[in-house]
Amino acid sequence: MPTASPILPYRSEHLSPFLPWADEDRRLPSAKHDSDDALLVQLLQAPAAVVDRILDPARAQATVYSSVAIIAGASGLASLIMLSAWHDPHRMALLNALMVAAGSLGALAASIAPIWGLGVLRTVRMPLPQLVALLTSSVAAASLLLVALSAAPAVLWRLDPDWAGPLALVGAFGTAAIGCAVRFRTQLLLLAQRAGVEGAEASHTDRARIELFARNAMLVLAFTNTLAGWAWLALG
Amino acid sequence: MTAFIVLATYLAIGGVTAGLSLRTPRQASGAARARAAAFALLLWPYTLPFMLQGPPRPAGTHTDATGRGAEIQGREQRLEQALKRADGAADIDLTRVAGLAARLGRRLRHLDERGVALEAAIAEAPASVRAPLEALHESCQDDLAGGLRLMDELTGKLTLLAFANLGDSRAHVSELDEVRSLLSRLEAMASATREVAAVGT
Repeated sequence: MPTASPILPYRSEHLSPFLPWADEDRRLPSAKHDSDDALLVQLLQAPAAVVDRILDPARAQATVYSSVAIIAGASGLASLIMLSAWHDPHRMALLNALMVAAGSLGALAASIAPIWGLGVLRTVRMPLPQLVALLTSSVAAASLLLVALSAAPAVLWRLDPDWAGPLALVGAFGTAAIGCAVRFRTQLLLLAQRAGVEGAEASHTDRARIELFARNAMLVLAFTNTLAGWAWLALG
Repeated sequence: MTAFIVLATYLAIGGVTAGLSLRTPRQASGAARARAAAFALLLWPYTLPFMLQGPPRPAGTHTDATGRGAEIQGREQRLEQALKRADGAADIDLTRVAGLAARLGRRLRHLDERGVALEAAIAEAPASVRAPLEALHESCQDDLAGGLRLMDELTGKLTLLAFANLGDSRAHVSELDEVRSLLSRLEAMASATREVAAVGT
């Protein structure tokens, strides 16, 4: 007797914690409450408010625009501060800052599609616009952190260009990367909580999948950032 | 040369995106359109997902309380499909589940009608009796939402059950346990609603 394949009638997956079960057009629920602070303030201190912005269809795109501007500005500024240790000519320093800003934006853009694909593989698929907003806001928070940290390598490089300077440089980027990963994970968990049953915590398996997805996503982002840095080095 | 090809491809996709953004009638003013197009040309990976998403759904359709008959019917159909799919894969009494689901569907429809009637009553009622009526309406809506959620959960679990015996047998047992506990919750909900309905009449 022919039996129906269990796979065929399965039109869409029911497992992603970011999408309400059996919702016809699979959109995330809209925001619950507003906060009046500027995005710059919210990026630094209120991941929940940023998640509210991301869930609000009217404000999600503006959040992406602002985050992109913050990433470009902050990473350029950080590179200007760090490069001040090398006594570069002024024009070269500005060119370098532009290259770093373009590189970090390009690296982030290149990582979006692979991260989305990883989400599908890990059954934590989320709508692409929300993923883009989540990634850009996390990276924007990290680039603000990088600006704050960039003074240390600039000073230490002048004092000790052999050990303390390079270590401080690597430390500043490493700390910003860890900050980005922590923020991304926090916002992912908050999003899953908002999309799930009202007031309920995400289940154990959901949390495990989200954690795994967050680590994979950060690995992809680190990889594309490394590639971008290497490309600039190769270009001289 | 390779860098040039990459850059040209990037800008070509950006050009298409910018053209699309000019065609969509989202921004009214010309300056806003030009800004969006410039942004789309240079940074299309960040704008394309939003353009592909389509216009946002009008607010309130997700939580609109009045007249959810179509919604309830859709859930019932989905549950029915899930039941068919789970047939043969699970060693639980599926006829009992089907009966329970039908009962729950009737209760939900009854709650829905009551909610609509209460809304009409609130609109006409004098201010003095409005507060208790509103409280009643709210509890009615809560019951309805809870019932719909349980129905969704059951549909999901039954769908999973159809796949559970493909792999680990221990997972299958735990899935079955979850379905059983869900069924007891459903039964409690159906009987509680019946009591409320009996008191109300």
